[in-house]
Amino acid sequence: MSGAFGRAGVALALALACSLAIVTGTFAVPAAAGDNVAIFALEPAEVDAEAGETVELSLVVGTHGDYAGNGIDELSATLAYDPAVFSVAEVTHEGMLAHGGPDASVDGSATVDDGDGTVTIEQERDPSGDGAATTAPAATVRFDVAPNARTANETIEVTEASAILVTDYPQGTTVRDATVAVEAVENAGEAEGGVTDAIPAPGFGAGAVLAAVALTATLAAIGARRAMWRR
Amino acid sequence: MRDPTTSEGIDRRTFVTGVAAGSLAVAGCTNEGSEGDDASEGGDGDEGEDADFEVGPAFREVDDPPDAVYLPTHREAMRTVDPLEAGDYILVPMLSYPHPFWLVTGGTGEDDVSREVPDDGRGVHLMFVLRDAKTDIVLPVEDGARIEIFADGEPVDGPRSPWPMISQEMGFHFGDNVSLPGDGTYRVEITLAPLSARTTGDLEGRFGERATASFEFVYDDAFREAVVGGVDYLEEEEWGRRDALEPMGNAVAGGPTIADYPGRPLVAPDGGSEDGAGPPRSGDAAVLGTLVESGNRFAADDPYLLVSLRTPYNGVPLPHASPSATVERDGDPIASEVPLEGAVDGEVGHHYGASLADVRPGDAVTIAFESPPQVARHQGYETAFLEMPPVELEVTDR
Repeated sequence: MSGAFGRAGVALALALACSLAIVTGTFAVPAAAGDNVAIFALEPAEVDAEAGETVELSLVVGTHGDYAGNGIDELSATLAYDPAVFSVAEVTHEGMLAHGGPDASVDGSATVDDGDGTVTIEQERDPSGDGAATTAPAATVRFDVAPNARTANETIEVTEASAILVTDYPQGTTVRDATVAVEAVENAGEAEGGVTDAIPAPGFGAGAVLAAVALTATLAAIGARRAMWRR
Repeated sequence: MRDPTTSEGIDRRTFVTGVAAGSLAVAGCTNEGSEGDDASEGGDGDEGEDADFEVGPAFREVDDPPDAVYLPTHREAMRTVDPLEAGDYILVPMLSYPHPFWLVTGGTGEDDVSREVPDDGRGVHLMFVLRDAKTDIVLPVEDGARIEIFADGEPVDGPRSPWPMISQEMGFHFGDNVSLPGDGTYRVEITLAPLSARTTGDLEGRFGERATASFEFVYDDAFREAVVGGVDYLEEEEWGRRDALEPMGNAVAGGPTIADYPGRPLVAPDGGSEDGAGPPRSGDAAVLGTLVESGNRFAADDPYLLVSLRTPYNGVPLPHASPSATVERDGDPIASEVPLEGAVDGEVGHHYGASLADVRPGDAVTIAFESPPQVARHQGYETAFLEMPPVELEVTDR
C-alpha cells in the first residue's frame, strides 16, 4: 500500500476522515494530556477475517497541533495482539507526518515482537518545519491470521501512543482499538491464503456515515477506548 | 525482533491524495453524495493542502459557556518553585505549558474580552502568587512588576510587565506566557514595585519599597512531560457546569465569611444570591458588605463601608474593579456614587472601602460598578465578572 491511492484508497480515506469526524467527540477524555490532543485510531475498527487470511489495518493519526499552530514531528505507537492468532506480515509507513511540508518526508521504523505480540511504529518528520496538523493514515499494518485460528473476536490494541509537537511538548493522546472477527476454517490444512481488505465498500454516502456511527457505538459498547501519553 | 517496514520514505502523491480525500470526506459527512466524490480521485496535492480539513474540535473547550463561573475542561498541571523571600514579600513561582488566557480591555461586553494565545509553543506559562511574609495575605499586584529571563547570564526575554490574573486553581496571581529559545537552565528575575493598594491593619505602612527576587528552573523534556502529563481532565458532562475547581494549596483559599468581618453586615433585601444561600451576586461575583463603626482601623473617624468582591465558590478576591456606593434613607440620598477604593488589610485581605459619615441601620446601599475587575482570566472565569449590574443592600442593626 505504498503507491498512490486508487479508488479503493480514496474510499478508505473518505471513510476514515468521516468516521473520525464523527467519533472525535465521543472518544474518551484523555486521562492525562495537555489541552490539545492527538488521536490514534485503528481503521477499520471492526473487520472480519478467516483463518489463514491477511488483515490490513491503518493507523490513522489526527491532530490540530497546538495553539500557536505548531504541528507534530514525531509519533510512535505500539499495537498489541494475540501472537497465537496474528503475526505481522508488513508495516508500511504512510504520509500523515509529512503533511504541510513540501520537502518533508517520514523516517519510520517498525519493531515486531511476535513472541510478545507487539509491533512498535516510530516515525519522525524530516525536516521538522512547522510539523503536521491533519488527520491521515500514518502507517498500514498487515497481519497474517494463523491458519488454525479459532472463531473469536480478537482485539488489536493501541497500547502506547505518543505525539510530539515541533516545540518538543508532548500532546495528549486518545486511542481507538480494532476488533477482528476471526472465523475458523473447517479444515485448516486446506485453508487458502487471502487478504481481507480493510478498505470499506467503495462509494461514499449514507452507508459510510452509518458504518462510522455503528463503529462508534460498538466501540462505546465494548469500552475499547482509552487514553494515554508518553514520550 | 524484526523490522518489516516496506516503505521508509514518503510517496508525495500518496500523502497528498489522501489529504484531498479527507477534506472531501468531511464535506461528504454533512453532504452525502456530493459531486466532490469523483473529484477527489483525481485531486492533486495542491487541492488537498488548500482544503479546509476539519475533523473535530481543535482543542477541548466548553461550547457556549454560561455568563458565569463554570467548570473548565481540565485541571492544569504546574511545577511549583520553592517560595522566595523578597523584603516583606513571599513570592511563589509556578510554571506550566503556554496556554491561552483572556484579557479584559476595559468594558463589560463580550467584545471587551480578548483571548491571548501563545505566540510560540516553545516556552512556559510563568505565574507568581505574592503574599505578605507576616500575615500570609495575598497581595494584589497591579502595575510596576517586571520579569526578566536570562540564560547563561544573557537576557532572553523581557523585561516584561506580567498580567494580573485569576484562575480557579491559583486564585489571584500575576504572570504571562514566555517564549524560550530551547532547552536549558533559565534564571528569572522579578522586580516588585511598591504596592499601590491602600494598606490597613498589620499591613499599614509596609510594601513601600521595591523588592527583587530570582530563581532558576530547568526547561527540558522532563519538565514538559510533567506539566502536560499532569493535566487532569474532568468528565465531559462536567464541562461548563456552574461551579469551580477547588483551589490548589498555594492559592488563596478564599477570604473570610461575612460573619468574620467586623461591623454591621449589609444584606440583600431580596435574599441574596439566586439560590438564596449566599451573598448577592453581580455578574456572578459575590458581593459582601459590612459597615464598620467609627474608630476602626480602616478609616480615621467615620464609619467605614467595607465591600468584598469575590469569586463565588472559592471566594477569591477580585481586585482592580471600580465600585461605588450610593446610600439612601427613606428614598432620600445620603451619599451618591462614592468611589470605593481598593485596599488590603492584614486580617480580611483585599476589599474595597470608603469612609461614610451618617450611615445608619436601615439605610439602603447600592453598590455599582463602573468597570469590572481588570484582571486577566483563565478558563472558567473569562465569561464571568463582566456585565455587573448594581447590587442593592441594606444596613442591618445587628
